[in-house]
Amino acid sequence: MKKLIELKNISKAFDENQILEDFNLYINENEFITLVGPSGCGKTTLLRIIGGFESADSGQVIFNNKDISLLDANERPINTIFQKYALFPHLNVYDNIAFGLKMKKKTKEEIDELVNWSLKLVNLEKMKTRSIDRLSGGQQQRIAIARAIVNKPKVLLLDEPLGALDLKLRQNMQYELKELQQDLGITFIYVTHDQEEALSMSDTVVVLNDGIIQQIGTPEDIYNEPKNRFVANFIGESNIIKGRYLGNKLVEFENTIFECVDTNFVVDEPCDVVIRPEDFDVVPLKQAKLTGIITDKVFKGVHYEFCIDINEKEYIVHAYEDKEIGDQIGLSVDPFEIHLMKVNENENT
Amino acid sequence: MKKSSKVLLVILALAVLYIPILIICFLSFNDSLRPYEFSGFTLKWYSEIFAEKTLYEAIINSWIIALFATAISTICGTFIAIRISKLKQKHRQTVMFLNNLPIVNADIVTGISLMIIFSILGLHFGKYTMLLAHIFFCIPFVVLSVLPRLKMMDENSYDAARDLGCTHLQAVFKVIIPAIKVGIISGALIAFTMSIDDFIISYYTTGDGFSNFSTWIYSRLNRRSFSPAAYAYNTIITFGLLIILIYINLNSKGDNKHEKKH
Amino acid sequence: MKTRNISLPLYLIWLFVLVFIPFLIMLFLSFTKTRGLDFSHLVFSLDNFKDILDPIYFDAYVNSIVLSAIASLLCLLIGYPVAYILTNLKSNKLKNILLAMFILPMWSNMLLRIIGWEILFNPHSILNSIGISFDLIGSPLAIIIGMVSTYLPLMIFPIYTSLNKLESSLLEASYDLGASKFQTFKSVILPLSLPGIYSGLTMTFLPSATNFALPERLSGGNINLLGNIINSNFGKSFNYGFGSLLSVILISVIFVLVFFINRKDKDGDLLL
Repeated sequence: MKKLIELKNISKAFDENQILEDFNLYINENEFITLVGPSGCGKTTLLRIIGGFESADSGQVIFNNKDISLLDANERPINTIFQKYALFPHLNVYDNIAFGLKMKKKTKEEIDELVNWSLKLVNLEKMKTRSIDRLSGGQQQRIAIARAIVNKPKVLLLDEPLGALDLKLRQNMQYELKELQQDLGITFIYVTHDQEEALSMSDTVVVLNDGIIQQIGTPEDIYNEPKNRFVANFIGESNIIKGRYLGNKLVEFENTIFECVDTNFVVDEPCDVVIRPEDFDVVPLKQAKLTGIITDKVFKGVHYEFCIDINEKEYIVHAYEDKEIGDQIGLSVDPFEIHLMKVNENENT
Repeated sequence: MKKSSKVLLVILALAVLYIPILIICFLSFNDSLRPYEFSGFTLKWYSEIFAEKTLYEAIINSWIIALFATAISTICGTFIAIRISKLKQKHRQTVMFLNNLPIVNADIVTGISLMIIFSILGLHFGKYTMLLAHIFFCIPFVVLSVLPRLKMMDENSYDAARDLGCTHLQAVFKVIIPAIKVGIISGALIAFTMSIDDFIISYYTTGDGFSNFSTWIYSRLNRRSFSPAAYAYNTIITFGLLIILIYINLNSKGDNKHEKKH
Repeated sequence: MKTRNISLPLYLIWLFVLVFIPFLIMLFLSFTKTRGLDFSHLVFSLDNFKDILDPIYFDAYVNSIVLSAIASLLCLLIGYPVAYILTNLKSNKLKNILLAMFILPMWSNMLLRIIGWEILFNPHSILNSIGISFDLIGSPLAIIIGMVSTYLPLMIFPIYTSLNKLESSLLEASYDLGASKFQTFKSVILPLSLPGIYSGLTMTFLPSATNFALPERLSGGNINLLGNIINSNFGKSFNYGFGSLLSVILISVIFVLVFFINRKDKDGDLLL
């Protein structure tokens, strides 16, 4: 795979607030990469620096081996889909989509052809002459997509584009965006705070917090092998338990010894044990490695979510069979479902 | 409130505003030069507007000053407002505080302040000082009228235009200005209204025999050189505009409803 | 984004030169005795501060405050309900026509409108022919009516703007929570339109107290207001020192008022 965009030593501060410091990242051609993190983590700033709306205090943005840091937004082969779409209210659908092409001084025929092509891609061929304020949220979203892709950018930046849509529509648009990206072969850089969205759409997920990359990897890596407490908590639900590595693929937590698959720890090293709620198996009390009391339960459709008190610590467990609050419950975990993390001394939780 | 009392109240308010205007209108048809006697109906003051040279010039001056002041203050005010809208809340409030000072300031203080600074700068008092003064008190109104429209805009509109290939100026002219058109137009109208009716500030910043309509009237009150043609002109302007405004309104197809949505 | 728009710094310089520097000059002149802007014969003195307390000006101060206060309260009493009625008009056409009719008097020359009242208030007037005669010239009432007539639109519009901004959902919420129409007015509408009332009061009170042409015409020279004293010191007697001191005091009051409005009115659009 070929590197398309490289961010080198990017720093950016607003007033005294350092958002990014010495930030490095590269993005491959045709990649669907998602920057995910809580609000204020620097993901939107990063996107705006790539788009050319914000200039970094220091560092470079490299595009196709060329430094584009000093180029203005209108000179970059990159287009953006904005949070609230930023469609121009004084122009109708056609003129909104044609806007970028007119700037490039394309002929009328070319513009016509391209606008029709992009409207077809987003399934809104009939809306050509509509005014913007007579479109629904979902339609506005599609027009914003059409307006960006009609320029055939090498890279498309998407700043929480689905944030304003309702759940059902959001899920549909996720599929459509993914399909669009594969059909068009455009690199997508996607920003969201929604971890589910990040997992379901991306080739690569970048988890950000406080302007620092916590982990880069495929959605599976990120979910199954979070590198630290932040990632484990932010991506999906986790039970994080303090433990001790005993050597020989054995780990001890809750006064019990478990088999595990991690090996890169020294004997007696303290570690954080991550177990996803769905990775616990409910077993008869006799076979249980851990036992606890159910303190709360919520029906979630496919499964139940139980809060379980084990040694006065609260665990979250997903299970299919119904139990009553106050019942005793026995649990076990398969070795490959136990993930060990290095203890990071900087983290105080 | 009962419907009848509502109607009565609106009529009272309109009466307070229109009684003096109607009296001026009445006098514009009065043959007598003395305002306290009616000696017959005439239209001669209407033709006198053009015959009375000093009055005619003063009227033209008023219009020229108002048009130039409006054009210049609308352009400057719009760009200033665009810039202000990009400031952070704290800075914006400080700048708006400075902007609002001339609006609230008493006309006589503004007039005297400008007179003092103009004479210290050694400016020659006349049409240019008056124009400068009018631009000065018009800009804050334009800024005030454009700013709320800018706030209503999608914050990313400018970036979106740049993203789609606009230069800075193209983005301003093709996207921002169309989006705040309504604010610009109403700002220009307010500026024009303020300028054409101004007396006190004009009085302090003119010189060299240059008068606008207001200063012409003031300098001739109780003198024989005062001509009721001024009444005639005022009547034409007021009622001419009233008719135009009502006509436009009756012929518009609910454009206002459309506006509200944004 | 690289900003190439230098309009703001230029504007700040422009405001500095045309607002702040004259203020400093007037502040300086307040401590001098001078004729006109003649800096070569300028003598430092505190006489202006003595003069300002001279009883001959007391009437003017009291009149300025009392008459303008009465006039702006009358404007509020008429203007608030009118603005309220306008806001709640269902017919858009009627609303726009009425709005236009309230703006239009501002297109009619201010001096001529005052002269209109002057002519009406003269004992000897055109109304004699229909058997009516007012003799109001020189009375406070004439001045108050003149002020209300001249500045009423400046009360109606800020209040109209602030009422127009009220979302109907707020009123519905109030009714929903059991408030009567009057209670809703008192505890929701009125407090939320206060910024409009404040700027309306400012926009009517200050010009009323400082317009020199209005009392000149409607009092026959009997009643002087602040504006007349400032005007005569600058325009007629060239006593710039004393005039400056009065202006500086006035500006300071205005400064406080703008500061107050600025804090109340976050959107900054109620002065229109």
